[in-house]
Amino acid sequence: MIALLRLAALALAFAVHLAPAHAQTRLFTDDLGRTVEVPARPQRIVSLHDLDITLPLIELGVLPVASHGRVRSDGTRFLRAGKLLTGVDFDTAPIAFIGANAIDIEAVAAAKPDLIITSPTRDTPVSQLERIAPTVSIEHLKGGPDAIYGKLAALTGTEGRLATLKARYAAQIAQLRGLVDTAGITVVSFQANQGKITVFHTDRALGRVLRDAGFRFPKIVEGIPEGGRMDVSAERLPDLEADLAFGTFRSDLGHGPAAEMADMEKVMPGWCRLMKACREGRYVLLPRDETISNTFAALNLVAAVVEAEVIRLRLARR
Amino acid sequence: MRTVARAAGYRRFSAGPVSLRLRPRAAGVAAALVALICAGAAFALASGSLPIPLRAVMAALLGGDVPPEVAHVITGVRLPRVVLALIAGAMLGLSGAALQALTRNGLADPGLVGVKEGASLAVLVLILAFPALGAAWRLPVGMAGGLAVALAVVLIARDLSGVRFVLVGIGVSWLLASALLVFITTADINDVETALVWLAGSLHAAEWTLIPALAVWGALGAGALFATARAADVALLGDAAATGLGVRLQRTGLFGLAAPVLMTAAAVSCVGSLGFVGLIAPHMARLVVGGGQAAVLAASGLLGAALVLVADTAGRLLFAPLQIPAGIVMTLAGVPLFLFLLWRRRDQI
Repeated sequence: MIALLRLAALALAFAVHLAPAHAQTRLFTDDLGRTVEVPARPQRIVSLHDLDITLPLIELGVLPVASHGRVRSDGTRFLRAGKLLTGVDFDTAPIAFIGANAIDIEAVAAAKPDLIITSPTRDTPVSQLERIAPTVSIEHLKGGPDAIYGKLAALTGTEGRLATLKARYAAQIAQLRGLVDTAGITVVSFQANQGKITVFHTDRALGRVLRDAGFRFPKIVEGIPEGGRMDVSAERLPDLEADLAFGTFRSDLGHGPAAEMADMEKVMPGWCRLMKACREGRYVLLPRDETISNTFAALNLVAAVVEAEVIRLRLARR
Repeated sequence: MRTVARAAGYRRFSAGPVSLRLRPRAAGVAAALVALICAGAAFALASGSLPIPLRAVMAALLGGDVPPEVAHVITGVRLPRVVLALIAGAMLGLSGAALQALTRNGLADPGLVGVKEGASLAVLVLILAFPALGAAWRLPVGMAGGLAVALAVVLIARDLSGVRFVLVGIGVSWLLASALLVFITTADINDVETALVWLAGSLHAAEWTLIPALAVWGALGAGALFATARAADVALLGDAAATGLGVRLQRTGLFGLAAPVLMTAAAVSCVGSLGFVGLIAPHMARLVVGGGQAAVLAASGLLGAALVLVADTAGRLLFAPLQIPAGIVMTLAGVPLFLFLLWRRRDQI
């Protein structure tokens, strides 16, 4: 009898010990203004955006059980820039694919999530998702990595990891600012877009690094609302002159720098001869997967590239 | 007269004091369509990314003891999607048949007067600018957009059925399509992706909250169209002949326009731009059933429901969990089928 009581007490203690990890919840206010009761330590997260939610989660050390992704023309599925920036993809980690542009709600349910993270632009009704698991919506287009990572770290209890990522990036920016007087250098970022030129105020990782480092931008760029973009015709090329001009090519489609140059030629034949920055070799083409990501891995990569370019520019000026 | 009706395929069925005249062939086709729709709905309910045994599907439908995720997927995801596909498809099919009769133009579809684009624009603004608002808002907002456009077309054209009405409708439709293109070429790529999925016509956002109001508008629209079906038949003889035979053309035209406009705006608000159904369902109905406006309306409604159900189920299952919007499946599979049907009956068109 005493042995049985001891066994029962042991089982009870074990249950009490385990319970908080699964049962503890707390309140979280998402970017739609909804206050949601979420698990204190979510174990099975489903992400509805690969680039801006899944990859940051992976960087924070949390592997989602299922994620939105993309599909190549041969039918294979991938997390955009996943392998490149984190080494993680559908074929290297146990992450289930739940759809591309339209999410398969049944695949979300099949993943048995304890937390679903979506974004306001995702047209899968939150009311559908929250019947499967607590659902929060994170605005992934505004605020950059600081805003997105801050919320994801708060949700997953990984604030310590975030502090480390931030510290590394801050050190890189400090080094860049220490090397050159960034305020004395003008920069611009644009890309060809179906016969027009798209100019960005802050083009994700690339724009974030350029802004954080304290570079100056042409007047036309400063006129764009923060986070916005503007399509201009080739006539505005002179307004885009800068000490360093950055462009991007579709690395996700297997394209190289030549493809972007060809697209710019379609915007205006001989554009490179007309634009001083390009003519003088100060037009830098980068793979778009790195530049459009919001991850710290991308920020670190871009910071290193920008640092190399400004050093090259300084040497050339001497 | 009896001989003429008999030659047209009509038969008289009597039961005591009640007698009914109908065409057995048309009734047979309608029954076959209903059976096909029921079979399709059963298949759609039993199939999906989450493997659920047939017994559990039945238990979930009958309120039996099943795991919560199974109950949610069957009754909260698959069932509303099937019901929405059937109602929206039937409404678009009916709308197309009514508009083709009203304008006496086989190329007319619910997008003719810009209703589709008006509703689409309004719902897109709702989705992208007010993401916190639930899906239930899509119906009133989309209907307001669609009706505003239809009203503008009527006010500009000052006509309900003539060439002027069709041309003004096409012009307004293009204007709104251009506004959508401006949005697509300038908006953030994430917003554009969301917009394109919705514009292609997709039922992935199906919810029960959408269905009661949609069903009410569908029932009202269908009631108005069937009530004026005989007058619409006579109106096809021309304005002078129809007026001489006692048809109140103004009233028939008003019902013939208001009902499809309301139904199209409501359907598009819930499932996106699936307007192609409204073009091909009436033609298919005429090919398989023929006869008067009532028969064409009934067959067009049934075919519209079947087309949307098949397109949505195929798009949901073929490459799951990759989801192909129903509108894309409809266009890819529907156009060749439509052309094949037209080719088979090329001498009768």
